[in-house]
Parts: sequence; C-alpha cells; structure tokens
Amino acid sequence: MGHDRENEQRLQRFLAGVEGRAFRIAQFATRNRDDALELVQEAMMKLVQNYAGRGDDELNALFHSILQSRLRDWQRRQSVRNRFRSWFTWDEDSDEGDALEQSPANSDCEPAFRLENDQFMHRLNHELGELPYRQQQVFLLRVWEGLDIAQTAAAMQCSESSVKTHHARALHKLQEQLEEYR
Amino acid sequence: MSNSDNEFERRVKSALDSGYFEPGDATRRQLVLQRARAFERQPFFSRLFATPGWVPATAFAACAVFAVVLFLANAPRPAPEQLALQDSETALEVLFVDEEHEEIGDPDFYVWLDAMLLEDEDETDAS
Repeated sequence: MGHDRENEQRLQRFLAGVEGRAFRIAQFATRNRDDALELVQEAMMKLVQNYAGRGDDELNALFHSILQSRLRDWQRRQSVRNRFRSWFTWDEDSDEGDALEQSPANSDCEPAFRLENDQFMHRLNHELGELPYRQQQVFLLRVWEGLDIAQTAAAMQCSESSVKTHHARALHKLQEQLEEYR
Repeated sequence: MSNSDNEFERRVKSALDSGYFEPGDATRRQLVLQRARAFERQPFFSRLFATPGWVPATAFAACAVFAVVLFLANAPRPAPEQLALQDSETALEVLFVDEEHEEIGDPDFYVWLDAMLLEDEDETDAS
C-alpha cells in the first residue's frame, strides 16, 4: 500500500514536470489544442495504468513512446477523415492565441534585444509547426526532451539512421529559415 | 555536427524552455485535472470501452448479424396466396381423413368394398 503511494507520488512528480512540454509537442503535431490535450491525457492514463512500477530513468522515454504512438494513431485517423472531408477546412485552434503575448516580460533585457528574442521565438514557433511531422517530432524529442538516438528511434518506431536523417534535415531547415536571427 | 549547429540547437533549446512555449493558464489547469483523472480508478466497463479494439470488433459483429438477417429475409418463401390455398386444402383433407377412419373401423365397409371391387372387375371383363 505504502509502495503504491510512493509510486503514485513519483509518477505525479514526473507527469507534472513533463505535461507542459508533452502538450506542446502534441500541439505542434496536431495543431489543435483539444486534440493535443486528449492525446496527452491518454498517454498519462496509459503510463499510470501499465507502467507505474518502472524506474525514473525509463519514464521519460516510455511516456514519449506512448504519446508518439497516440500521435501516430491520430494522424492515421486524421488522414482517413481528410479523405472524406477534403472540402472541410479545419478550424485550427490557436490555443491561447498568440503565444507572443504570453511570453513573460524580462525587465533585465534591453527592449531591442527583447524584441529580437520575441521575434525569434515567434518565428521558431511557426517554423517548428511547418516542419514535416517526423522531422518535427524527432527534433523536439532530441533537442527539447533530450532523448538519445536509440530512445527517439524506439519512440518513433523507426531506425536510428532515420532519426539521424530526420534530425539533420530539421536542423538544416530551421537554420535556413531562422538565418536572420543567428 | 558542427559548432554552429550545436550553438543553434542550444539557442533553440533555451527558447523552447523559456516561458514563451509554456501552456497558458487554462491549458495548465486542464492538464492538472487530467493528471488527477489519470490516477483515478476506473470502473471495469469504462476500461473495457477505453480499449481501442472494441470499436472494430463491435462493428464487425454488427455487420455479421446484419448479413445473417439480410440472408434470412431474402430466403425463398411460398407466396401468401399459395400458403392460404395449402392451408385450406390441408384442412379439407383432415376432415376427409376423419370420415375414412370411421368407415375403416366398420366391418360392413369391407363387405361393401369387396362388392364394389367385384363389380368393377366384372365391368372391365365385360368391356
């Protein structure tokens, strides 16, 4: 009983730390706030129900594997739906609207630097959203989540060489698009 | 990976970790709620219906039942008029058979039957 409680607290801490990033990763993939929330919820439930006993070092990779699997299912469902509803334009939820407005003002920075930084974030947000699905997800898992190549390959269900290729392509594309901010 | 690549990645990572990419208040509240829900014990039927396989399985079963119903509905049947005719014939037959049974039980019937058969034979011989 006490062991269960410890496990629950451990998972609570882990999920509290990862849920925000997981939501953004799902939102980049789906471009829809509600779908992203639903997918994160499913991943959380699956992790709690089936993998509560796993060690701390495994949890992050496991959670992202589950989330990626949910995202792939979502993509498949979406492509089938789109085939039937190609005339329907999806109303893309912009979550809390313009994320630029939410960025906390950093009073220590010079206004010009802050403006450039905000512009960089805004463009980065846009360009990440524009990347092809696999490149985008590999890049986010490697750079943001810090998964290694093997963990990313397992989560994305592809080979390690594919991970390297997707990562390199995403990096190249982002560098190209954000050249002016370098 | 070159130094400039590494530097660019570091910049992207620090941008991603900044408050800019954090979910808004409404979303954060929603995520906290979802986390709490993930730890709730679910009743058996909710877990059953949450499994992704039940939808295709149910759809398949429904299609199979529909196909059987369709097959049975289209099986060849006698027309209603024909059925009515058959029914009335059967009823008459039953009535007729009842009378015969009475006669078969009467010994005079056989005497009469012999006589009739002899008459028939005589008639055929004569002709």
